[in-house]
Amino acid sequence: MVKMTAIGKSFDGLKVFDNFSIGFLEDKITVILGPSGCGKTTLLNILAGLVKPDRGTVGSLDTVSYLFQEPRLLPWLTVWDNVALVLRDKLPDAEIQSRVEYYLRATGVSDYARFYPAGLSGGLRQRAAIARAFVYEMPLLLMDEPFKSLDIKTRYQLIEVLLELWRQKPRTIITVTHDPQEAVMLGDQIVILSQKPVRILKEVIIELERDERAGDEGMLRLEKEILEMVLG
Amino acid sequence: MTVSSISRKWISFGAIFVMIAGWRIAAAIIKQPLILPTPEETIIQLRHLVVTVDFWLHLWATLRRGLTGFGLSLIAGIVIGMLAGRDSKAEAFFRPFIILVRSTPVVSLIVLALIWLKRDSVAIFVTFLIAFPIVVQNVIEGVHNFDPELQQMLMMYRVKTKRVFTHFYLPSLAPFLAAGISSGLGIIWKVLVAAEVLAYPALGIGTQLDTARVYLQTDKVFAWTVVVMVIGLLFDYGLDLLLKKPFRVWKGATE
Repeated sequence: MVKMTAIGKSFDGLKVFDNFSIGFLEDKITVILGPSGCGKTTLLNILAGLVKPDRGTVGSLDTVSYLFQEPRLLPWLTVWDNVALVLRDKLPDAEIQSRVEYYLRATGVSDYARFYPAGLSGGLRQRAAIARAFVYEMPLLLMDEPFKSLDIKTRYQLIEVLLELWRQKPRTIITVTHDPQEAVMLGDQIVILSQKPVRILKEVIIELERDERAGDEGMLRLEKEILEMVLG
Repeated sequence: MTVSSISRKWISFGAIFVMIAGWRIAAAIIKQPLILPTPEETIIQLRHLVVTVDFWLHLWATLRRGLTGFGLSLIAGIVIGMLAGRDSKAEAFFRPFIILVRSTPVVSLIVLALIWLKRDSVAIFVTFLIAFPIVVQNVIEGVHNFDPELQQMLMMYRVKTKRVFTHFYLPSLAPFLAAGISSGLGIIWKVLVAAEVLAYPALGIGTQLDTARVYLQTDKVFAWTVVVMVIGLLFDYGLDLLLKKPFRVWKGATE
């Protein structure tokens, strides 16, 4: 299980984490919400090993996959090569070939495999980035507001794409968002954080199946509650 | 192409015509080919030259020196530019050397090279020193433009260092290297030929220029001068066109 125990971390004397502990459900999706600048990205970076905590232990996994807010594709490589790049030197070519094809199809970008990122819309680029995040099959996938810069329609399409990929090959996903609706659509576990130093304001486990959530009374209440807490 | 860019082109053509006409009129007034040959005499001399084997040997000798010197500055420029670009302490260390090389008078470089080196190497050495600051400056600028978000992505996905070099560093540097290469290869020839005039290697355009001067073959001086100009322009504009093409693909369009 991925967890953080008694984490302490300060930046320039400012305490971001002070004796902070959290556990994440295995092979489920955890959504983290909180006010802007509360340390959500730092939390992901600690889990990813990019930031070392001053104190405490991180029971994380050795390597993680990461979906960023921006697609972060290399402009000089085609979509295909961008996705394949993260598997190079790690798997035999034939295996890379079949995996990349599988995920490009699953994310709906097969037709654009030979396109360069600059020739694609923002939504297609983020689909390619999702393909890359999933093709790199790690037990833990971290996502830092991956749908933030997309329009609402594309956002919900991509949430569906992501859920479908996850259903096919479940893994632990920890994602950060500002959007209560997105949180309720995606999460098995929802965690709401406070301002610095970060505390857990509320933690909810949603048992209800995802396709039964839309329009559900309790879910709507939860959404409203999340919104109020995030707005603080 | 827009209407205004077409009309600007015609203005430039017109200016070239005015220059040549001015040259022709001046030559007609002076009437002394030894001082100022006419454009026709220059073209006739050029036509005589290009059919000789010697012309191509001299041309090749000069090109070879230029490309060797430039190639060396490219290698040194990439290595030192990468070091200096990634680490401000390294940059602080290399900066004075670059400024020293850049601010030394070209003619002093040539004279010192004459003292230190063999005839054949003088022009190579001087070309190297002229081109090096240009390349290094462009590489440093390129490294400063590395996208930190892409670098972080490559680190997260544990992409191997050699692949980061070939798939990230080099392509990120490419537009800056292209700019350095086309501007560098545009200007080195003037300096290189000057070095040859003084070093007098057995083969080389500079040697030919000076020989023509000694024998008062001014039309030949003009002809060789045109050759050097054409080399510079070809490298500058030709490479510019050639090297820009791949970057256009990255900025839009499909494969």
